[in-house]
Formats: sequence, C-alpha cells, structure tokens
Amino acid sequence: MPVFRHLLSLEGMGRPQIEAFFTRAAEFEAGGPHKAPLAGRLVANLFFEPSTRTRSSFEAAAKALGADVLNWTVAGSSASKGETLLDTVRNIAALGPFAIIIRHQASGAAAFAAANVPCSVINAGDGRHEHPSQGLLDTYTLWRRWKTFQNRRVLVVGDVLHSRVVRSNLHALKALGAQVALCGPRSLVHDGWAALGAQVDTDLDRSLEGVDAVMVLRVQRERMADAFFASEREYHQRWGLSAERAARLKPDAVVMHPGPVNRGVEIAPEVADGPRSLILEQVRNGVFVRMAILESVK
Amino acid sequence: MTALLLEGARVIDPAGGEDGQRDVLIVDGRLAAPKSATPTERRDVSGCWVFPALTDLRCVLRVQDDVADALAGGFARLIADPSSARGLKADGLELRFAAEVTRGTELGERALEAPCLSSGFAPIATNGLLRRALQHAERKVVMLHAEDVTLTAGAVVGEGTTALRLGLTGAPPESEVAAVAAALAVLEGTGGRLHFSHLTCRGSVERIAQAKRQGLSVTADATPHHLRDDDAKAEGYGLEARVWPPLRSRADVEAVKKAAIDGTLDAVATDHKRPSILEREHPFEMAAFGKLSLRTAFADVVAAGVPAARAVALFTVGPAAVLGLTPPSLGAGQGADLAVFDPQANRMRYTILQGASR
Repeated sequence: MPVFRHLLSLEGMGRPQIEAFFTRAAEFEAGGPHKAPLAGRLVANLFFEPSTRTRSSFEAAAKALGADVLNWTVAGSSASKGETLLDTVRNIAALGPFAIIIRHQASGAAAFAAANVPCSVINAGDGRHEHPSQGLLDTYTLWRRWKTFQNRRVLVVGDVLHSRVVRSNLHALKALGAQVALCGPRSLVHDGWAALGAQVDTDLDRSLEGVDAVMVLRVQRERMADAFFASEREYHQRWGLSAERAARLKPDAVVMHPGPVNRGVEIAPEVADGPRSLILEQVRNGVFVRMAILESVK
Repeated sequence: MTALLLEGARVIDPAGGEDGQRDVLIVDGRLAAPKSATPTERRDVSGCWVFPALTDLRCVLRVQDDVADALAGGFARLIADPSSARGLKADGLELRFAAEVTRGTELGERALEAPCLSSGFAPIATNGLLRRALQHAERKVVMLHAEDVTLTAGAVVGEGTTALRLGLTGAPPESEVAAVAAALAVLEGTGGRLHFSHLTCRGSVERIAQAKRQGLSVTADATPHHLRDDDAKAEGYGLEARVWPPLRSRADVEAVKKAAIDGTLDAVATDHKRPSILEREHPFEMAAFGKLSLRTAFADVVAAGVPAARAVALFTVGPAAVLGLTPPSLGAGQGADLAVFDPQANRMRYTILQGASR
C-alpha cells in the first residue's frame, strides 16, 4: 500500500496508486485479518458543512481500524465568529490526531489546512474542488464489477458546476482508462471541461447511448444563488434520469449517485431504487475505501 | 556645495526626449548641466539606467513599510487609494490621496486638493451615478474600476481551465469589457475626463483604442502583474494570484502588454496592497485580495517584455498626463528626483529624491 502524507485530491494520482487503494479495500471487504492497526490513535473529523454519509463513513472506517474519533462540527462559518480556519485547524492539531478529516465550503481549504498542521489531512470535500474519498469509492464500486476500465464509458449528468465529486471522479476515471462524458444544462456544464479530457453535451438522450455507467449528480440547490435552469420540472424532463431513459440503457449498465438524492428531480425514485442502482452499494463500499485511505496516510 | 556625479548611465528621459549615454550631475539637490561644477562625489553607475523617479497612480498604503517599498522601488510620487491609511511619514515622497468618487449610492465629497477621484477596487454602482460623477468632477479625472458585478458573483480568479480544475469561480472577461463599453457610452454622451484603472482584457483595450481614435477624453492603466501573469498563477491556490481584478488568459495578457507598448494604455499603476496577517488566515477564496508590488513594479514591467524607454514613460510622463501634472524630467534646473535601475540584476539600485539617496 503506498503511503501518502495527505490525501487532498485525485488529480495527478496514477493508476497503480488508485488500484492499490482498490486492492486494499477489497481485502477489508473480504474481512481479511487486520489487528486494529490504528488502536490508540486519534482521528479528527472537522466538518464545516453538514454531512451524513461521509462523516459517518469515515467514523465507521476509523473505528473498524481501532482508532478513536473526535468529531468537531462547526455550526455556521467559524470565520463569522472571528475564528480563522488557520486558528481552528491548529487547535485541532494540538489535540494530537494523526489525521484531520476536513470538509469545508471553500475550494482549497484542505490544502490550506495541510500547509499549516503537522499531521496528515484528508480532504472530505473542499468547496467545488474535490472529494477524493468519494471519487475512490465510486470508481472502486465500478472496479469490483469491471476489473478493467478499458473501453468503458461513464456519463456524469447534472450539476457539474457545483460538484466536487465530478472532479475527483473525472481524474480517477481518466487515470484508470475510462472514457468520460458530462451532460447537463450549459449553465451547469461549462464547455471548458473538454480541456480536462471530458466529452461535453447538453442532450441527455444522445449522451446515454452506449454508456456503461451513469453517475447522477445532485442538483445543489443550496449553492445556487441565481437561476441556472428554468424549473425543477423542466430539469427533470431534460436531464433527469427517468424510468424510460433508464430502460433504454445497455442491459448491464449501472446507475450511481453520490447522495443525498433529490428524488424526482435528477433521478426518478424507481430508478434510484431499481435493479441498476448501486447507490447503497456505494455507501457500503465507502467504509472499506476509507479504511484503505486512513491506513495509507502517515 | 555638494555636487554628485553619476557616471556612465543610460539616461532615459521621455519628457526631455532623451535616451542615451551621459553622466548626470546633481548640484545641491538640483540637476545641473554636465561639467557645470566640480563633483564632490562620484558614483559609477555604468550599465544602469537613470530616469526620473516614478509616479504610481494607485496603491493602498497601510503601514510605513509600504512607503519604504515605494522608495526602494524608485517612486517619488504616490496617488494613494482613498482606502489608504493617513498619517504615514512621507520620507521625501510626494503622497497624495485620491478622493472617493462615490460613497455607496451617493457622490463622494469632492476634495479640492485631491489629484483625482477614484472608485478604487469596486465599480460605480450604476451608469446614472457615473454620469453624475463625470458632471460633478468638472474636468478632474474620474478613475473607474470597470466591473459588471452581475457577471462576477463569487468570482475570485479569472475564468479558465485553472479555475475549473481548482473549483474556483472565475470571472469572465466580459465582466470587464461590458463595463468598459457602457462607461465609454456614458462618457461620450456626458463629457468629462474618464480614466480606466487596471484593465486586464483584450476586449477592454480594443475599446479604449477605438475611443481614443474617436477623440474621447479617456485614458487607462494596467498593473505590472496583469502585463506578466496569467490565470495559471493560481495553481496550487497560490496567493500571488489573489488579486482583483483577477489574472486573465495568456491571450489577454499579451493583448494588454501590446496595448501598454503601443500607447493604447497610458500608464502602469501598481495596485500595491498589503494584506494583513489575519486576512490571509483563510483558504484562497476567503483570503483578502492584494499583493505587494511597489518594490518590484518597474522591474516586473521590464521583465514582462516592455522596452526600457516605454517602461519609463508608463511610470512617468504617462501618469503625469493622466493627472494633468507637469511631466517629470531630467533637464538641468529640475529638482533631482531620479531612480537608478540595474537591468542586469533587474532591480532598482536606489532612488534619489531632492538630491538625497533613499
């Protein structure tokens, strides 16, 4: 297992490194013997934004490895209370964790923390930048089925603009050899993504042709100060993964969503709960992948 | 009597139409004709450029170190942004303060002694207010930060691949170009003297060139960093790129540099602004904008590829023309305010103000 000082992004990570995470996660999933390698050590969860699954998943992973978990939830912005991020992370580092797992509303917050504390930093989502553990668990979920990403086509549909998940997935999928396409309203899927190696299209029906996996992104209403599309009804009609659209997919194509789901907006409930859906498997796999992550940072 | 002789310099004096090799003699704080006095001190400045000390059209002065930076950077005259601290020691510099052109949605009070009116680092709220500001200013120059804020909501860098990868909101060039076009339309109808601060885009300088051909009373400046650095400077959330207006694409940088060289732009202004420690204890998006620039401004413009004589003009006769002031020169009889620049090391050697080294 490669050792990382921090896990801040998947950009620049090579296929062997990513696959090493998969191999280790699979060992944990198989219940392979491990003797609480992190027993007596402390992990700090530092969440500036609400999160259910990521925080719980890291906590479950840390406990499975024998670590103690300190949960530090910041209600609202600490800056508004006069405490700077620098001050907060230094205070938490002073409690002696070997790693700080940080989620923050600002892009670059994890890198900023990493530059200012003596322990490891794991990015659990920074603004619109990256969400590397989500990218690893999503690709792990596909890797378990496919083993190779050669000739696989993955479509990411939805609110690409506000998504940190899409960047991590794009970098990982490209490194693993998959083809990646993005689809959504032009206000949410910038043409500039082509420069990062993704195909870009606004037509969902055309984009769905021949894909092996569809990653549906959440419409992040809380991040939208302006109107990016006319209405949720229109959004569902043009970019929602409806039952009819799902029925036209290749027989073995799968559907994913990083959660939480706006059921009936970006994805129809019967698709989210249907046979193609890997949504709950993603959540389950998240624990094993995060165990591999926690074990890899030193 | 003291008579200081600077020997072997390349003298660049745009106001005097001079660019060539000669010695410079300073007698009792004033420039004197060569050989008009016997030197009491000689300094070898061969290989260096000697030119009139520089003028900065816009900087934010917060602490005494900012004045020290200006002296080290070859400046004699600073037009400080209205947000600057008052009461700093001038140390021989001429410190003047731009007046606020507006305060919120109202006109700012017109300070008679102010060299110009400035909107600083934010636009004038509406075109209606700009129109009244141009009327109210009565030939005093109005310095405008051109930005359509409906196109820059949440933006901290220029739009581009770097912004996309880093997950930062990028301001599109049209946020500036649209504001420049609108302000020029107001100027054309209203009259008055308008100056555009820190232009950054090809579309903006094209519109300035056109407005000048049309005969409008308009001038414009750019900063050293916008002549040199593109939006990729933000890689790794580097705070050197945390400036406002933001850094743009390479094509825009090249267009702005070309405009600085060909005279479309009249001046370089530093936008020097020293962030406080507290303002930088946040991630990139939440960190305050601003960078130190006074100390290296001239060297940065030269490093960007602007020819020596033009670089000097952009910091001397250019800003003087914008403000309607007498252009500084190195003619005999003038007060000896000059800068000595070492092009090999690409740094300012020293500044002489009123004949005294600083």
